[in-house]
Amino acid sequence: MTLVSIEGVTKVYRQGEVAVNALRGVDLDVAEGEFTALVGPSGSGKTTLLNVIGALDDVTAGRVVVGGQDLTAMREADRSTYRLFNIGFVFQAYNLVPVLTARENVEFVMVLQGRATAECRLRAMHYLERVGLADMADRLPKALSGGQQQRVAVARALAAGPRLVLADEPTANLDSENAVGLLHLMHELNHEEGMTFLFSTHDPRVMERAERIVTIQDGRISAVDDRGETISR
Amino acid sequence: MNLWRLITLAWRNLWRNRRRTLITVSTVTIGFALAVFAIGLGDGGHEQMIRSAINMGEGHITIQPKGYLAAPSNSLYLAHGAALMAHLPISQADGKVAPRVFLQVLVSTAYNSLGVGLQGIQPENDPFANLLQPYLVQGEWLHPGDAYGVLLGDKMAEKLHVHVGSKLAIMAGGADGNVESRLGHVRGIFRSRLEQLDGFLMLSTLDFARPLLPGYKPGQDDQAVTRLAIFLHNPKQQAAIFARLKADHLSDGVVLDWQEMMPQVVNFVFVDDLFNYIWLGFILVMVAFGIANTIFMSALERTREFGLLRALGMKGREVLALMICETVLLALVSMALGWLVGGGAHLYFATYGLDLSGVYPGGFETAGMWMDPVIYPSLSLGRITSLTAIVFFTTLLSGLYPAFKAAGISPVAALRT
Repeated sequence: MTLVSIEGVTKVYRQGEVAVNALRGVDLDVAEGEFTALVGPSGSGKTTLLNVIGALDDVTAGRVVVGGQDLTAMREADRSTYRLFNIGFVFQAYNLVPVLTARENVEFVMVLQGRATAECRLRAMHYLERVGLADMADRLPKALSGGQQQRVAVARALAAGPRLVLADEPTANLDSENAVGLLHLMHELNHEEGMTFLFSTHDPRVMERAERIVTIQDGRISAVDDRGETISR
Repeated sequence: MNLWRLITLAWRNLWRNRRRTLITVSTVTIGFALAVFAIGLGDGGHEQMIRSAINMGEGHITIQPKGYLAAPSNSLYLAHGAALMAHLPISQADGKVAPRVFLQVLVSTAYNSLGVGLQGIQPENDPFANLLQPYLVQGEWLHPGDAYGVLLGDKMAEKLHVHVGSKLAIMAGGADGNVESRLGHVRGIFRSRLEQLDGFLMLSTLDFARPLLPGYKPGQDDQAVTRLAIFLHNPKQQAAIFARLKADHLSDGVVLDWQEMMPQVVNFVFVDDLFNYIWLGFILVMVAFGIANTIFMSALERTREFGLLRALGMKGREVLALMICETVLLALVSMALGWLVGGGAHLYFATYGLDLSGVYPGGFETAGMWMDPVIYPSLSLGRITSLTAIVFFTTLLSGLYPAFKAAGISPVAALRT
């Protein structure tokens, strides 16, 4: 069943007098439960595409529908609500709120969702345990390593129960051991929870784990590799 | 997000840059404490000045002949003053009524002549007498029924070359050109250090002063007074008693409150208050800049974090609430400390007084009024509330701009920083 449906999406940024075509007529479907990697060189449009799907950015033309909701027709306030209940984000760096402990960071989105305190705590501890950081629940981010911080971010993304997890280069700042560990964890959670993952990466070790690889070049999807069958566009 | 979570997050954010927050808190605390103390001192000084002016002047409320305030004249007096006094709707619980005869007179000795103010009083019963008696430096105080005795200030005694026991001629003229005269005996000399008392005031009994009233008729004018000065036990009752007296419709007298009798005191307090408000204005600017700077810098440093919060689903208005909460907490902490420091100093000096006798031994004169050298600061509940509210809302306003900036941040732009 299709979760994300993108049709003819174009995104043009203006940098002073210059117009930058970040996306040029992108069409893409992502099915529910997929573990998909977006790959491509820097500036190819990976982050822009993730931002558009996450309703962080709007489109210049085209249509983006996620879980039956047309993002292109949404007002800003509705976009916040959409992100809150549908999307889990994992960014490349600076993922956590520095003044909140690991547990409070995981609870944060659930608190925004208005869940009961006890439920927030229970779910936060469950996911911290799941990412192997239950014993560090009361530590502030500065007392955690980069890999541990990213694992807390994954726990936060999953604990809120989103339909789609968007991860923008989640392993870019990690050493290879931590990068592989994080990908392994994400993959495991994808299988166990059935949550859809869409992440951008340059890292070949990360690509190896992906079930589907979408290649973007110059704002266009140039190839889709369904692990066995590569369709060039 | 519930309020407690919001407050917790705001509180922790506030202490991220401990040094900057401490500097801001200190600045606001010192400014606010200074404002609390300075305004308390100003108000206390004003209250003392007004009290002194009332006690040394004509009381909280005065009854005097019609037209006297606009054109003072020896010929204007209340012929049946004592009878009027007996029928005033004022009880002993309300206060004390002091009958007085005040005349502009010419005092002459063999050496010199001076124009002075002669005040006939009940020496045993007049609050002004109680106030001035401790400043008697030579001779003795007036006794009730003293038919010839006068008291005068040391400056006047010096100009007239008189001493205790000297005799002097006192003459009072009326509007019709008649002149009444009497011979007075100097019973005592006082030194208040107030130029207008020591150089221009002479005291006597009512019985001595009455015959100097122009056209005085013995037997007929024996109850005459030029004024009834009313001293209230509770100044807060002034308006009610004033209204009661006004309603009494006196035939030949008018009822005036101290504000009408001494407009110079009202004006002085107004101008002095104005300077206090200017001072408060400076402090508010300092407070506003301190808070705005902290919140603005804090917002600038956290641009990416606001992007993260917005990306996670926090709404713009929740970011606004968070920033306002940080401003409010900063203001509350600073103001609480300001009250502790400024309020503590205020309470100490309100209890023990700020003693300026080292600089002004025996008191000093301000705008023609005598001030005790020990000043007791005073803050009314209204002042406390308004001071707190003004500083609080100033801090809130100064934090609004950075708060709106943070709330309006585009998540994708913020995440790119």
